[in-house]
Amino acid sequence: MSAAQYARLVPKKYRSRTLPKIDRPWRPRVIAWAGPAAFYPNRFYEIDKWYKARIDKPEKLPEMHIIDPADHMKSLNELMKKPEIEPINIGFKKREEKVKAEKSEQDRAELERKSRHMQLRIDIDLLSVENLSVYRHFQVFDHLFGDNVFFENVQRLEVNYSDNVIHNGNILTASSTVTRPEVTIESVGNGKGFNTLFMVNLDGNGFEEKKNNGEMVQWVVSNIPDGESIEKGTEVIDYLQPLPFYGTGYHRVAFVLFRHSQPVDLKLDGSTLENRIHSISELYKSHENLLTPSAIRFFQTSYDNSVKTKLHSLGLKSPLYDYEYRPALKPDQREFPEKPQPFDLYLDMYRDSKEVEKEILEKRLSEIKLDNVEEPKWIDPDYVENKKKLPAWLHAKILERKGVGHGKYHNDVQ
Amino acid sequence: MATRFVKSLVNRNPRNNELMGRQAANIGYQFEKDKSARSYIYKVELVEGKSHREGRLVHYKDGIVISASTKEPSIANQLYSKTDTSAALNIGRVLALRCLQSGIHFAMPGATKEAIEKSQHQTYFFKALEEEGLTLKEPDHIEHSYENDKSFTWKRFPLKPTRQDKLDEL
Repeated sequence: MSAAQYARLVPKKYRSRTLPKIDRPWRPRVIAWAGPAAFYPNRFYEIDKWYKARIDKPEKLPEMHIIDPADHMKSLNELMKKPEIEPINIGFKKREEKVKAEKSEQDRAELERKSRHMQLRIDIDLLSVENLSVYRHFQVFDHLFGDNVFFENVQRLEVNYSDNVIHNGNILTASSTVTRPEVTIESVGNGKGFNTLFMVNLDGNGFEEKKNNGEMVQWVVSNIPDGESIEKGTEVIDYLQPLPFYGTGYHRVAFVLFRHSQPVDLKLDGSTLENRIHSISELYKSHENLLTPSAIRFFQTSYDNSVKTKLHSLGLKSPLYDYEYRPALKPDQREFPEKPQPFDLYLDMYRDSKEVEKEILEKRLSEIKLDNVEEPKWIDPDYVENKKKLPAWLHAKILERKGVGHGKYHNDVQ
Repeated sequence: MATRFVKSLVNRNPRNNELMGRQAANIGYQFEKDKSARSYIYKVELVEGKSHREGRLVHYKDGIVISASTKEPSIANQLYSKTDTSAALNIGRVLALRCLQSGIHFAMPGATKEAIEKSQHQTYFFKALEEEGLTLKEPDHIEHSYENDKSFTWKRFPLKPTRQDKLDEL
């Protein structure tokens, strides 16, 4: 309480009436305590005095990212959706399904009984729904004919490699596709018209000469008369089994059937592997007036030994590919990282990978001869001693068997 | 001229990484209550409508890929009712077969365990899927590590929050 306030409360006291009513001088006391910088016009002048003056250091906050809900009327799903463009049908009109007649009273009673006892199993073979969204999902049309194009399956096309029937995208081993498949084509023109069958590996173009310039054509049979077997057609390019190279994963192989009223002369060369590369979209464009796609089937296949055998028999080597990962994300190296980091792992992160590889190999060679590389039975026989003496990070490195340390004994030569 | 293979081949198959097990499934949003509901590459679900049953296979990016519904006349005219339990069961059978024909062997169930147990339709639907050969679980993806990439010679480590980061939780 200041003297002036005290005087107001206690008026009768002589001392308070006579003494001058002034506030206690607080400024010199603050100066004595915090120094003169506390009252400088610019308070941030003498940085060392911050603490003493008990003035909080101005906190530097990052600029706020303000999300105003009024600006965002669409949900995330709506925002992420691709704009829909109506795809173009390059084939025939969709075939109308035959609708079965109404069920009789007896049928219904039987169905009800079965249904009640959960014994009703519908005959799946009778269903014939062509699911085009699967083809869109696998981008088969996009990579065959270009973007935003599709056609309906209007002709029944059955392709099977002995027991393996081709549907839309099922997975076959490469060894089951060594010999040509049996193909049955439905007759739709009462003996008039022709069919042309293409078998195309959409992902099989691996040749320097025709890089990104078409797909691998495996088999072409043209001018198959309507209703006749496939042997009646002319084999423009003879059958070659799909060649999904080692390490390239699953290739899509499509069977495309075209309809045409007049016989076509496809001048396709398939004498060597490289000559089998043709751009289907360009080929279709040049014969657009004559050919109309009417059916499609595809399967997926990946490497096995039969691919190597085939390539060797063609006088080629089987190429080996390895998946190239996107380099793993890591922050830029800093002398003083913002947050504390485990120093050994932090420094390891920025070492040259070749140098690390070399070090691992040298260590491995110094320990053991290359031909009898064997993992020791005990990782660290001096565990107790090491635990006491070594720093934790160094000891952890010795104990590590997975990760980079794994390479010490499992460094496969490729 | 001798055949020369390309140095780096690009497989355009959009499903290749998923089939090879390299594609990691989403982990959901951080503050979402049921994060695991978004953690799938494919999921199967049964939509129980007022007058129809529809089974769907949903891809995490492309949306509905395969569907089987009692709206299809060829299914409907073999059923007694479009909404009963045996309809759900048969939709499950058809959907599973279509998935397998498209090379899709793994899918997560699109409903929680409780929801499946609660509803007979869901129970029979998922049972039928499994009986037809669809696996209702997705295999884990293969981590990017030194095993499959020789240039990855360092180890990932978690960055733990400091006291300063967690001040408001104290």
